[in-house]
Amino acid sequence: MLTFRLAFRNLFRHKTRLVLNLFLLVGAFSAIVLFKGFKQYVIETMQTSKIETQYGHIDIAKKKFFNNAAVDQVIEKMVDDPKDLIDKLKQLPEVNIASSRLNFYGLVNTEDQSIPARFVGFDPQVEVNMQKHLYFSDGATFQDSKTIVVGAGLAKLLKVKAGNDVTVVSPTLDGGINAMDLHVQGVFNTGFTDIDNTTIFLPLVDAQKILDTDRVDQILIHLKQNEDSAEVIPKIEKLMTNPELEVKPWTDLDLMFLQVQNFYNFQTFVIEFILLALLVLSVSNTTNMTIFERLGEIGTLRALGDYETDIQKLFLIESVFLGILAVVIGIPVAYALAQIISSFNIPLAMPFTSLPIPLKMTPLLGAYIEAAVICFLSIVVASIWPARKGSHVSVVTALRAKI
Amino acid sequence: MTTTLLELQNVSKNYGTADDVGSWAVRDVSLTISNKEFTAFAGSSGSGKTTLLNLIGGLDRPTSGHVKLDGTSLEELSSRKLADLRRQKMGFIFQTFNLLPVLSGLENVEYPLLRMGLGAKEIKERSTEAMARVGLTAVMNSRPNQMSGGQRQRVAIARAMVHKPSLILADEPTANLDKKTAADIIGLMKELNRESGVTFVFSTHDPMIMEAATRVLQVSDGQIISDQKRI
Repeated sequence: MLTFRLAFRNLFRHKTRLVLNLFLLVGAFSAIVLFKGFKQYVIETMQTSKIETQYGHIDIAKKKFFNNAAVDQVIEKMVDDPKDLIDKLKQLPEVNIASSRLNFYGLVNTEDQSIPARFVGFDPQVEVNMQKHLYFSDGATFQDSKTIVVGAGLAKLLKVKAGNDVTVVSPTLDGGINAMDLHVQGVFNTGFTDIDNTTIFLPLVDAQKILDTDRVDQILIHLKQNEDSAEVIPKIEKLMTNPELEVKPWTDLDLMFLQVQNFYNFQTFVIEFILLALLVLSVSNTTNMTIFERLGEIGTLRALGDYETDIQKLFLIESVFLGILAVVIGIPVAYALAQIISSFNIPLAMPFTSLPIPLKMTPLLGAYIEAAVICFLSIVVASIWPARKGSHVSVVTALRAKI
Repeated sequence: MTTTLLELQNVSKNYGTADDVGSWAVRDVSLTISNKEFTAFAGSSGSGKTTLLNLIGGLDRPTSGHVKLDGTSLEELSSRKLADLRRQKMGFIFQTFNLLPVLSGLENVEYPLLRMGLGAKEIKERSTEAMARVGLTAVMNSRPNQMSGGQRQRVAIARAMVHKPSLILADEPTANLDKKTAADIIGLMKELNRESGVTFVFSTHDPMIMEAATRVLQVSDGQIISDQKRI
């Protein structure tokens, strides 16, 4: 107990040094919490946008749909009579929404030009949330049938804006050619250039009219909880009677999102590694100074019968106390900084997205734990070598130094 | 009855190369010290008296020769065994007191008892008793920087004797004290020597200690040049 008391009081012997160490440690602690919180916010924002506008949480379709079958194989992707399956899916307690979509490629004609585009027919009455995640730079969301919303990049190429009319031309499922005049209701951004430069959303009924079919090629399931996917998929598989259909979580369908996640994870790892190295260097430097100044104390303790390992333990306990102090101060500081920074809503241009993302931090318990582990680890690693060196100094040499 | 507590046989200590005559701090010293002695190594600065004290305390190892405490050869002991021996059988008093500044007087005295496997209650009792013995009950919870030089040296004495050692080594214990305080401290050590029978070995050039000592060994150039015993 006296060793702990000695170690604790020794912490406060050099107040300037303690403040400097704490400044470094709390700074690193906060940096980790803020960076991880922001990374989480970016990933969650992108994930929500992907789920709401493109995939849902879980998708049901034929294998050829998932394999991006060629245009001339469109008919082979079609799902007959999805209503029965959708009704059953809605009965599952984890399911929030189940709806169907029809995807196809066609030409968009304006007075001046004709550009190929990807069309997504969906049910605006069911996928209400989806429209909230299309950020309209011009016009507004769907009013009725025969209206479309156009991705911002595509709209720029077509030189169209809300209020214009376009003609969509596409092959029907039986090989004919169909055309339909549609009204541009709005121009949207999802933040993902691959969607914004190529895609037009239109009501499912119009998509079916253009392809001259009453079938669909994709069933989207939105869950109440993001985490339920793995648990729900086996239940969904039990409900399916058509052996040609497959169930996939959305994460299996978007390789780019996985790459983005991996990129941010790697970036976080590099930043944490650099912080760890900086902390080890600076803390070991101050510990070295402390030990050099306390040689007289080390000599006295050795003369009183302490082992070298007792001296090492004393310095390690001091480091652990420093770590505890840094974490105790770091938690409220990091939390307050996250709240303050988030409140400013500062827009940041980020890689992989065409829309600026506000600088906000998602509170993550894991980030606090990781920051605490990194702080402790760096302090302990930084103390081991100087403590060892100090304890090995001969007693006589150590006793020559003043206390 | 007196028995031999300490024995030095042809002890030498060289801090440089063996041929370098100037770096011999102790040369071929042989002597015995019995229990209950109050012995002083006297001599000028650099004469080798502190080195002798360090060799006797196992804080340093001789280049040649043997140091035996209670029949145990110190040079045969590992660093850990030497630490055990110091903890059990020796107490140290330093010229600059060497108290731990962040601990109170009482806590400083408790420290040597920590690794002796005693219970918290016994540690407290023995330390309080030691502090009372040196007359510091009133300031035992004060930190060293709140004490006078004499009080600090009294704490150091309490710390040196609290674990009931057979030998206390004191390196210039009065060098940083005024004359009156020094006389009080010498009187206290003498009293402890008489009452508890603990052997004191000093390194000093303080005439008051030499006067109080039962034996004075004059050291010059690392050798004992005279050995005066008083009854």
